[in-house]
Amino acid sequence: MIKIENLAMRLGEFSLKEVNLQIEKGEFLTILGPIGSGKTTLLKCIAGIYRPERGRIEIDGQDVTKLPPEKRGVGYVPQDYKLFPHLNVRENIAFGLRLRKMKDVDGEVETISSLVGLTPILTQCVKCLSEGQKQLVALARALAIKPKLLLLDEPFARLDLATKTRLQKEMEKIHEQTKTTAIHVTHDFEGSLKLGNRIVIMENGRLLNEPKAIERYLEEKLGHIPITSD
Amino acid sequence: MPDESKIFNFLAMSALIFLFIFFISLIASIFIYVTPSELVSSFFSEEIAFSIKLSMATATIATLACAIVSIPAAYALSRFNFPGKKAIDVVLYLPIGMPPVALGAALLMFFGTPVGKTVELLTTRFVFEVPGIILAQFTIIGGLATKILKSTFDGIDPEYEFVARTLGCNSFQAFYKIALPLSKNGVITALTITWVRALGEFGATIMLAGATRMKTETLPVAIFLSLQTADVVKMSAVILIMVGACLLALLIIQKLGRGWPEI
Repeated sequence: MIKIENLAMRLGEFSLKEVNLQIEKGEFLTILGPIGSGKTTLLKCIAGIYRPERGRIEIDGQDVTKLPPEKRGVGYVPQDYKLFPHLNVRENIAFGLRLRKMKDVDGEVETISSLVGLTPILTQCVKCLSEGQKQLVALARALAIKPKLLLLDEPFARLDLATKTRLQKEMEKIHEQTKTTAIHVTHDFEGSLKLGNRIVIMENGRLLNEPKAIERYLEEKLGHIPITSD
Repeated sequence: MPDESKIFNFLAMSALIFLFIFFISLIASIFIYVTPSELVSSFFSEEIAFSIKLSMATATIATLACAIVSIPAAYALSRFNFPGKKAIDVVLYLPIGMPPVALGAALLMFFGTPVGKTVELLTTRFVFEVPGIILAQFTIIGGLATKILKSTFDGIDPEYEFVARTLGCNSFQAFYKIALPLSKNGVITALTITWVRALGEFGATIMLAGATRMKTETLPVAIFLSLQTADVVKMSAVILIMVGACLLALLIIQKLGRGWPEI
């Protein structure tokens, strides 16, 4: 279970304001909000990239607020993937496994690659990949380390509609199989409704997680109450 | 009405051609004073061979020392926020802006202080010795290398290292497994530029290490000594060697000008 309590931080003019959030084990949570609302800042706080000024982050019962990113057990997929350009697909996926000095790195890479459908392109250089393939490699790289929590920062933002729809289905399938707890942030109101167990809203650094407030917000933005939200 | 674009293009191209002809004329003028056979025999003289070896060795050692210090320093300057960062940034510009001869004089004065004397006692003699050449070169290129390397690291999105950290790297591993390989071409370019700068260093060297024939006679010092004795042939040979070294370095820089594309 992931627990975020009274998380606050200032970043220039912007601030996260007392964010409280609880995510059940295996849940796929979508944080929906406009660009600049603080979604990425929140993800980076959870990942340990930013140090919050106040508040507490707990992952599976462990207080990780002051732990460095490498000790949190969090997988992070940034918006623009950030695949390591000096490594090929296989080496990108194996990166975290090698750091953990795992015995069967190749076996683990094969397993995760077949799960996300990357086996045929393992030896390719990452700059030769399509946007959709890059997204899957970034996902495989993050999943390979078997994170307690997977953080997805606008994973579909750079994809065309057809690829986005296909990869949303892929993502759903992968989540079904791995049951990795995940937080997915997006500004795509329509797309967000197709993915995940629950939606919360982020606006101006504040998190709306009361069902009634979320319904009101979505109704205001979309003109209807989506059936997928709580 | 005249075409303003054509006039501007003509003036810009004229300036470029002027600069090209100016520098080519400088190099060509060497051949007016000496014949090719005189030059070739001069290349193989004992004194020039000594200068080449000394310059190559000292510039390489100074550049390696500079790499050890400047790469992490530039990374810190690029990635970390800390009090006094702007002050450090300004101080690093000093060796770039100050005359080398002034820095050399400062070094000489430093070794006159009790601290400087203790440093010499505990390590080696620098004043009027070969280690003095290396120290003078290091003093001149240290700030320059750090500045160039900082620009290189600035050009690499820190998000790569953030991702590496979430995958299990500590900050040192994120530096050497990600930031350093991604900046490889920039680092080699920076070190090549600083190596050439070290090779051509004269002002600080002559102040700290002096200009002793066959002892602290680097290539620029050889030019200076040849001029004093009106040995035009030797001077021309040394200038051509330095032009060759510069061209080689420029070729390396051009070859490695492009880094890894962002994915």
